[in-house]
Amino acid sequence: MAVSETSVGLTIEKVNKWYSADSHAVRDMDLTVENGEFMIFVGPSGCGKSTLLRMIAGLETVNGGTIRMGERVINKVPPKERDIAMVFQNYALYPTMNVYNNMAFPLKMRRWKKEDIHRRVTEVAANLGLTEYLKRRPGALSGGQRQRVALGRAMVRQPRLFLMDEPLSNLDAKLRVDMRREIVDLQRRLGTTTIYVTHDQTEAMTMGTRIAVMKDGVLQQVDAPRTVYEKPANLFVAKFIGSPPMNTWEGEHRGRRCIVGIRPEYITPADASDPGALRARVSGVENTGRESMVYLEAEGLPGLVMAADAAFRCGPGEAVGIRMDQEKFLFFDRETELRID
Amino acid sequence: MKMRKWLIGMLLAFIAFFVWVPLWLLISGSLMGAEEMTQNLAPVLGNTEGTAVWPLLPMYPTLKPYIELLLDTPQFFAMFWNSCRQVFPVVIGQVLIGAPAAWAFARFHFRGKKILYSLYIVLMLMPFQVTMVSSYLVLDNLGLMNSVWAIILPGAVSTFPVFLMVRFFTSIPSALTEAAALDGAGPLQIFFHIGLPLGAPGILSAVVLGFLEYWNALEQPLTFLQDKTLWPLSLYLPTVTADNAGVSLVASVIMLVPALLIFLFGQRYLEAGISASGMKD
Repeated sequence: MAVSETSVGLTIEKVNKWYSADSHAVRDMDLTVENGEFMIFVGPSGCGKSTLLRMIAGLETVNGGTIRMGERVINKVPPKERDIAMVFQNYALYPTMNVYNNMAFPLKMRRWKKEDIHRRVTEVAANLGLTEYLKRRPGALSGGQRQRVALGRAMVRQPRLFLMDEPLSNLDAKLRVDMRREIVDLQRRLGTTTIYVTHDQTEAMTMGTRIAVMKDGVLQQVDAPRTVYEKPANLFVAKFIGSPPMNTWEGEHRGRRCIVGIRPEYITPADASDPGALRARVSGVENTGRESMVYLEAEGLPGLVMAADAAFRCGPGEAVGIRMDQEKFLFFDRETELRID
Repeated sequence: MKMRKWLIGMLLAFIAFFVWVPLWLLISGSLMGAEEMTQNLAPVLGNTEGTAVWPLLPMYPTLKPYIELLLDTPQFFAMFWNSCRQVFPVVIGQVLIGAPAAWAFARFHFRGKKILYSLYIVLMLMPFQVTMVSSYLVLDNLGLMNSVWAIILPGAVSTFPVFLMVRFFTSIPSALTEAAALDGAGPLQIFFHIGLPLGAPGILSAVVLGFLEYWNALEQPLTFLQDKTLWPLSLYLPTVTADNAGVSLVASVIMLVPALLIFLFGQRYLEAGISASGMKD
């Protein structure tokens, strides 16, 4: 992957943020984002991911620790001097300016020459398919077009860092899929370090080179998406990443009481006569067309979810045989909830 | 349903009628000749018996009172000019001083902000009569009494426009100013590029309300201006004597015109301003 000339890496060391004495939004955060990397911050609402992003942008003060861009500590550097471009959840387009002026704004603020601004804006607009909308105001654009303008405004000036705060959450499902791919392509092409905040499973799993999972202001795990999925650091990550979430129950592992987990796709239908098969009763079925989520009740276990082939036919109340791939079991400590190897 | 609508319409029309009648009488009266007017009002002004009448339309409509006022009364023009040179600087000052002040209240966190803002509101709620004596003393000490500055300076730093604009500026989403800061804009540039264009309705409603207030002001010029050559138009009407009632009606009509124009031009902002301030004047 080519890394942009202007792009830099980011180091976060022991960063803390309090809103009040009893509201500790980010706790002792340690994280390194490599130059050119696409990092995803993911976690439930209120986990501190947006706060962390805003601290990186300079929109929130840092109460403890340091944030470094490249070698430079930026804790006290005002936002305008950080050379960071950010895409906001609600786009934050300037409503009184047309698309052209929205995109030209960062360049005007940097005192670019008029011709250079024109060249750059038309180039980026053409890239994003916005040429015909340049004269329109944001109010006259659809959600997808607004999102593109917001991206365009971030892209025009080749920043050192891209920040994106749930940029796709206001778009409809189809558009979201398209934009997801576009953003990934764009990031690859530009090679600029990007931090992307989301609470969406699919975005987290498919877009980034690494994902950082957060909960209650604490970093839970940072790793490649596949690793986080297959080897979650703890029970929270195991249940948060993956949809539908991992099945868990209290069990035993090497003679030790622990929590056992298995992903829905590792539970498969089996012939009831199969000696290893478990008998279960179907309590509900959700067929997405591509696959069937079968909700099951089995004796001695809490409710289970099985991700079966769409062709698998069964109805509520029916008894079925299932098989769990024991190789895929994950075990977690009951106290610490950390994964046991 | 239709009946109800009709009834409500009638009721509103009935109420509107009472608002419009004085205005109608004013306009029709301004087109009345001096003789006709004297005759109509004789029982009130003179010593004749009977009741005064005011016809809906003048019997002999004439533009004579207009000609008399506009062509033969230089005093009227002097006062019109006085009004302009007092009201426009007040309004301009309110924007130049009020808008940045309001932006600071709406967007910045600084020590003493709450106290200062409360002080603004307290001052705003005080009627002119309460602050009149202290204003008089300050202006007197500054040597500004009996000059247009006695009207302009207190007006320009008036607190109401600030309060009004704060309401508008606070409603600008913070994401916009944050986006601008990340796009490389400093605090001043954010104010000029984001605050002013987006707060324009608030600024305009402050302009409209400020203009109307000072165009119609009576107490300030009466208190602070002893020299009658400095008096604004709002003080012209009380100087008109009964025998010159026709001219006074014309003066009223002409006095109404700028306010009416401002109102027509700024009605949208005026409504927004009134609803934002949660009060009416």
